[in-house]
Amino acid sequence: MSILVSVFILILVALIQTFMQLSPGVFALFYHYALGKKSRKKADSFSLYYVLGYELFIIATIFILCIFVFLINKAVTIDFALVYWILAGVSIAEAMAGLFFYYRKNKTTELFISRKLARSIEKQASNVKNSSDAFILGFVSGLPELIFTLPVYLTAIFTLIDFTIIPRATVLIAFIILAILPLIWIFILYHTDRHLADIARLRLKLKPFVKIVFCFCFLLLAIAIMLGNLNHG
Amino acid sequence: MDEAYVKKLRASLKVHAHALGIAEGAAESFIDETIKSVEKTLKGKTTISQAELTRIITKELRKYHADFAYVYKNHDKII
Repeated sequence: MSILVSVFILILVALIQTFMQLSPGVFALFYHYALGKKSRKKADSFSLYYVLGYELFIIATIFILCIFVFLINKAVTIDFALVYWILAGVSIAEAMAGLFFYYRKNKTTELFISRKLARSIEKQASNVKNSSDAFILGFVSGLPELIFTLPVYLTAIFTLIDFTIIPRATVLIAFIILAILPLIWIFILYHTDRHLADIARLRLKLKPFVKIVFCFCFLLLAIAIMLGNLNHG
Repeated sequence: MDEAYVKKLRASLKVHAHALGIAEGAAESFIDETIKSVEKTLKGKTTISQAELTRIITKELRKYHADFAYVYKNHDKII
């Protein structure tokens, strides 16, 4: 895969991760309840642990996937062409899912996750009592979206397979910084006299845009993977 | 509405009001007035769905604070 295509793929992967909506949604809810039940200082302190939990989730997932790919590569000879075709196919499926299933079809920002799970997460978000609760909530908030993020992480790992350790580390650092941008954005909104109602309305307004971005990015990702694969072959 | 539900509703509304930065006195007054009106509306009814109850409470809250009503109605529809 050429450097140009690889960089393009990594940018798309980062963009998709940045537009994931579950963790920012949970963060907005959690901060709202923390403000309602505790002081702003406490809410801010819990936010840090939430972000750390979310970061750890991303790092742990990528790390586990790296080990998985490494072990598979040791055990059998990976047919990279086949892997790229599968990832491209999955990206196309994700593009359609992003457009039609990521958000529920109603006038809210409800996501694809089951209502039972959403209620359970909301309950957790409203009952954060200490830093460890916030940390666990941050960690857990990434889990239900794995169906969307897992293929994206795998694409990044396979793209970086030919790179040396320094670019890999640089990409990982950039990736985990970009992943928390939406959380920082919501944090800033809360600190500029906005509250949950404003954030919910804003997220609702951005819903069509996010759907299009998802679809567009996943389609471009599929095209880039296929192009990279053809060039590689 | 039974007493336990009213107590739970009041506590939940207080949390939302505090998070929205509504002054404590004003929030208490909004909540009291809302609960009074809702109880009046429900007088004589033996059963009511949760969705209908939410709609009535939201309608009452909207008279005092639009964002308060919005958050009450949508807090379980954010994710």
